[in-house]
Amino acid sequence: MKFAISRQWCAEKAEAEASAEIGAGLTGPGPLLSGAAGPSAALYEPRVAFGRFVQLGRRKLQLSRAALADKAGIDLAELLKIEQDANYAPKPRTIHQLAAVFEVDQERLLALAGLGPPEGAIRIEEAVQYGAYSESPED
Amino acid sequence: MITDSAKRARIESQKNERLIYIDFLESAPWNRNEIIDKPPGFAGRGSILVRAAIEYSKREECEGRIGLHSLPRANDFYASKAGMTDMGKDPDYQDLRYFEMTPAQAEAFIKEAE
Repeated sequence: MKFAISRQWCAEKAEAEASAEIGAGLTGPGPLLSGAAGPSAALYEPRVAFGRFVQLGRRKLQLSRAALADKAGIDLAELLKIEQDANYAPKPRTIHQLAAVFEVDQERLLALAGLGPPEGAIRIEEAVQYGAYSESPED
Repeated sequence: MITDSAKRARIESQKNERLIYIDFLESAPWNRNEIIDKPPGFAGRGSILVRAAIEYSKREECEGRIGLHSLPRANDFYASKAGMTDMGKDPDYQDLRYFEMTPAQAEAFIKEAE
């Protein structure tokens, strides 16, 4: 599907949107959230983002789950849980290891996983390299 | 973004009209503020996704009607920035707030400032 958007419209919306975080629904492309039972979506939201970050970051690096687990020195079973189960609380060490592989700040990744303070103070400009427009091979 | 075209509108004035329901919408996590500091010109991605849903709705002859269950952090965006109607918490969907956009609201969202 193609549609035209003017530069002016984009600029207006970008200014209005500012830093708002956009999201809808709980049925993502992966099985992170299954079923309607359990705690509220608000509790899950950080881990959903963390799981998606790991999944898409791995694809960006063109790594299989086994290869990422090996590269990060973490258990494959835990990596599977991180990517597929928003109920799973990852171990802090695992997050540190993944932060090193993805070259992002550990504190912010901890926060994304719901284990750290919500506001990270350290800049992570390197993370931009994982931009949304990158190709993501299916796994 | 994942959509469903089998849903019907809930707003009283649009009751039972067809709409495009957004099953799932998110920005890539590394585009989110809590992970990175975005470079200049990187904002507005949420608005573009909503715009895409509106255009898809029009193409499917739903006149721009869209509906979605907002994640908690995005409630303000859909209500204040996108101009959607807040239908309140939906007990059938983990108490997420349900938002809907009418054709008139869609046109207002698409319109450029004078």
